[in-house]
Amino acid sequence: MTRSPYSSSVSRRQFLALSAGAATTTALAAAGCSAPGDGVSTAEAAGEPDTSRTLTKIGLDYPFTQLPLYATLVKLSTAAAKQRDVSLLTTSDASSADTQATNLTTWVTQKVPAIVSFPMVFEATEAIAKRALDAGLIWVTYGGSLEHQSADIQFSFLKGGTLLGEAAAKWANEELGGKGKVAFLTDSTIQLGRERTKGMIDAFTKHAPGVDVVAQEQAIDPDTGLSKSRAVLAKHPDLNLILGVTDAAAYGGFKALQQTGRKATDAKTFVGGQDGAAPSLLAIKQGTFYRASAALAPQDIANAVVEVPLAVAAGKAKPSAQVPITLVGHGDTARIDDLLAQNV
Amino acid sequence: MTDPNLRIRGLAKSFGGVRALDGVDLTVPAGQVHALLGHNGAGKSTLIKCLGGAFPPDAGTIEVGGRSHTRLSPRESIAAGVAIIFQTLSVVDSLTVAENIFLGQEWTRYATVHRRAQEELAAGLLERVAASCSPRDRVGELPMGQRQLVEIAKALSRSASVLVLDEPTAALSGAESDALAERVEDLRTQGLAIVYVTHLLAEVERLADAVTVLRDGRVAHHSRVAGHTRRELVEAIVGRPEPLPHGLPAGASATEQTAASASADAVPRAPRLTVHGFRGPGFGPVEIEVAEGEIVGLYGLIGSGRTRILETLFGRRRASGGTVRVGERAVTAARPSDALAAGIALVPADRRRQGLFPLLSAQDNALLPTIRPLARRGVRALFAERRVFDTLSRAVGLRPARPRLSAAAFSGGNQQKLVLGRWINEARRVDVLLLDEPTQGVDVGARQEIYEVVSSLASQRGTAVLFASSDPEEVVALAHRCLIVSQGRITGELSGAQLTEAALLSAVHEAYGTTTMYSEGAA
Amino acid sequence: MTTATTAPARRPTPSPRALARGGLSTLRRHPLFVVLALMVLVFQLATGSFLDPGNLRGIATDAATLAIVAVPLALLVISGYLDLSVGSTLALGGLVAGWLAGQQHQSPAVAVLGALAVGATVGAVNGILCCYLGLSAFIVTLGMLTAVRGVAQQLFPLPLSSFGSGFAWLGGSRIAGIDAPVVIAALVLVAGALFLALTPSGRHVFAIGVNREAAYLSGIHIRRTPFALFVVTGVAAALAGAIKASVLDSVVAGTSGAGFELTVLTAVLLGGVALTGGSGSILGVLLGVLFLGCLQNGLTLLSVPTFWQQMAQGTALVAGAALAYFGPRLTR
Repeated sequence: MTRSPYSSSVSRRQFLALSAGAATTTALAAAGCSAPGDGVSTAEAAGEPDTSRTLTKIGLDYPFTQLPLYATLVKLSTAAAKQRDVSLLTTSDASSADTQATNLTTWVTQKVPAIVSFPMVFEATEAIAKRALDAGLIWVTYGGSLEHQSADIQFSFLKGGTLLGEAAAKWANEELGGKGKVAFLTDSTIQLGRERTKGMIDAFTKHAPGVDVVAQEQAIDPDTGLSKSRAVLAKHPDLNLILGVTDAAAYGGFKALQQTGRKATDAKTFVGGQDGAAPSLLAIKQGTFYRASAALAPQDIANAVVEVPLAVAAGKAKPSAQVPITLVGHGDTARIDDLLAQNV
Repeated sequence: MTDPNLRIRGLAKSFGGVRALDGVDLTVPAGQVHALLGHNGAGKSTLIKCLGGAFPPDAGTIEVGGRSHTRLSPRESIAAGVAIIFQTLSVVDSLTVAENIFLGQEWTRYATVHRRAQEELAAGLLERVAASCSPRDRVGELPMGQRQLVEIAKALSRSASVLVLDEPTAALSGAESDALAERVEDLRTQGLAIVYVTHLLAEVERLADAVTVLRDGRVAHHSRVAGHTRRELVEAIVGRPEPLPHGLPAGASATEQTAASASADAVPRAPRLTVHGFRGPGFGPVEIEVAEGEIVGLYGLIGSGRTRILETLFGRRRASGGTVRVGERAVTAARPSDALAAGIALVPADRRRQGLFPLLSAQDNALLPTIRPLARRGVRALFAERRVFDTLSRAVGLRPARPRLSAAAFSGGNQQKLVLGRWINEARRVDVLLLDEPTQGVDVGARQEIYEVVSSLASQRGTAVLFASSDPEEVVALAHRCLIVSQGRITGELSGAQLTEAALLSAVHEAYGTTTMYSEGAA
Repeated sequence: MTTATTAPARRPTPSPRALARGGLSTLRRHPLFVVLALMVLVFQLATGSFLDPGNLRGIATDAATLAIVAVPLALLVISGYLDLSVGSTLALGGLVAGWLAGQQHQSPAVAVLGALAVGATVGAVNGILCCYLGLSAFIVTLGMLTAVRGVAQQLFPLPLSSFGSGFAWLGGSRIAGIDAPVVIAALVLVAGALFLALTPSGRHVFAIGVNREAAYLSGIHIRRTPFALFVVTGVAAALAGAIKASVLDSVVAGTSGAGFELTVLTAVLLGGVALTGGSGSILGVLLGVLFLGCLQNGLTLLSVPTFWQQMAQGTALVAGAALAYFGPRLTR
């Protein structure tokens, strides 16, 4: 784990900066993302005397309102909640940790009976979660776990990255004989991004050590993905792989490759991302060199958002949920169609 | 005899190759008033600004109270004892008199402003300048003359030993000017060295102990005042010995000349501008008729409604009744563009706020409304623009005649020529020209040129000119006929031989009565 | 303050020396040119591939959308106004174009015109509120930035993609070997420069920015001209959005053009346009746009780690602004 994942071509200065970054990532990952599904933290909740509360309201606090997943998640969760006769409240945090804290505090003050929150900064949310529990509310942590919580909904962001990194490494070994050039589009601004980045880079460099890492550039949106990939391609026109921390960024890389004259079905090129975003899924389905996406099924998440608080309210023993992440590639047509159908 | 309080030696300053000051010497002993005269652009403003620390001089020394400096920052200048009262006052309208006087040097007690101590001190200072306002009055509510006294009191509070007054009477009424002159005499006896910048030779004669005339950045004339005629000073300012073709506003002979030419021109001609029953907020109803080629003055004190009448005619303000005709056509001007379309143009009094585009070039300033009419199929006619500008700059005597120089770099008189040029260039058809204080802040030489331009516009192109002024000299010099404005009404008319400074002054005194001389507000 | 005319006025015909001095004065007015040249030199020496045609093409294409919006925005700033809503207008324009081309199967021309119409509408709302009702442009367009983003996300919550090969023409085709967005940007730049230099309204833009009251009293349309500029800015933002949508063959309502408004404003101000209105030039804007484009690209080429890139970008911006400010004084 602590081995530097970067190839020997990286300069000493960069190495220092990057390994410092990697150390930070490791520390944060350890702090913020405990082993999933152990259920220890929910034991107290399960042991509470009030074991059969009926929930009428669930508050879903998903801060990244600019992401397409937000709209999908709200839609699917609302539908899932309606089936269980629960109404769903949502926040509009606009990716601002301060706004998120304000909105959550409002909910706690107003005693929204169950809160499902994806904390932008886990450490900063601990106090609010404690106040929610003290007020007798249900607190479900989304995307990680807190000390004070009723239950959590876990994803392994690290695993999503790992799945993509392994698949790309396998492809590189088979199609390129273990040689070639790879560029990573990374994110080091939020915890989720750092975990995904780490999983992706560690897995790839472990399984395909012969492939040169020529770039690691911050990019989470298609615009930035495009312009960064273009710059990398100007220096390395023979680039083989672009792996993205998001599908959106990878899609920008996909377009950059095409614009430098690469055929959409080029056999020596691999682009992969994470999220299961619609444009990327379509590109995979069409058999292009966009070959893989580590995808979460929005319906699975939506179900967990409703079922986990209900399970806590009903006093179930292990209310927490682990949402599966799978890698979608060429040939997974049925799965792609299923995912696309959820994105409505 | 003590050392002179202010001694400037060999001061030089250039702006991008233009020599604004070229080795100027100026010595003002304590207890003297030294008048500083000169054409606009002669270097007076630059000299004052070097003294106040706004620009560093290129060469020379400034000696105040025995200490010599090669350059001053504004703070050092104040510390050295120099106080400059600019034309545009630097008082803060929203603060009280006392707060203004102690702005930046507040008296504090327990880390808060010691208001009472400040007000007591302010009262003393106000008494010294014989101001009638209270330390607690808001400066924004005071008449202009009182604001100026507040600024002088502020200078005294900083124990200034050198006081520079930059055209102090430009915005004052006659009575206020007289009051100010008395203050200046008081301050002289209190031992201040006073530099008095002015265009008015009458003020020089009344107040000055010595006079320096600047021309083209050099000292063109220096003397004790006694024994010198106006003519000598005027020649020093203008720099040409030959008699001027048109009367000077200051000269006694000028009045006769103008009166003669006015009566010669007073052949009845078709009315160009007819204003009937014209009313608006603060004035009216008024009746005005200006014939083709006639120059009519609106004379009155600040606040009498002169400016409002002109601005309403131009559509800057809304009229509440009456009719306006240009020739035979009835005109309703809801906005300036309507007035312009009907052939009415206005040169506003507040050049800085309403007239000039300081960042833009001289040519842009002079031709702005003309660019579109000159353009062909929406594309600017660059050659035609340059030709029109060149003709115009020759006609008005623009100095320097550089089309690309930004307007901010010109002197006040030349800026006024640019604003005026906007309406009188050959490519522009203006039937009625309205001028509000056409030579405010303009020196004697440029003033004369502006009068000549306006006169020839009227005589050669038949433009009807209606101008407002609070300066009787100006009215006599420029107008064929003059309407007396008081409290929003026209109370009298003078023309021909009746039109003299004395007649104007007595007319306005009658109209106002002596007690109301101070009552005035912003125009 | 005025270095505009260094050649003596009495010289009747421009001699070679006067022309050389004219060139020098252009340099003095645009010291960013020197900064840019230095930066290009450093990047070329450090990477060896900065000046490769492929890389330059990439920079040009990236800078193109920036330039398309920067030109009308610069005119707006010169006239004393401001538009901060362009980032969201860009997103909405891209979404509408993509939706028309992809889901409605309209021709590329219809798709682009649809986007432009939406941009014009946003611009008109800005213009009416700022020019005719006299509200603060800063507040109004900041509000519109959020509101238009909301409209975009409400109408198109999901990412759009696969707009068809016809629409790809806008961002992908080459005219005489130059990418279409670059050609469009060049046209916009030339049009902007000609507008300022050769049309009466171009002069009026400056006059309104310098002294609105004096412009009004000179009979200039002090509302109509800035209003038109707001509309043109909206149209340009939507056009840029359509181009980006075409290049990426996808648009995401939430992230498209996020932060774009500040990037454009940075380019405009860096190019010497004063936020107080009344001064600026299209050449300056071009330099500002290229400066940002080269900086971003060069730092990526050097593989500078993310946070170091942010530091370097911030520092370079301040340094660029400082040189642009102090440069002319030092060379005097």
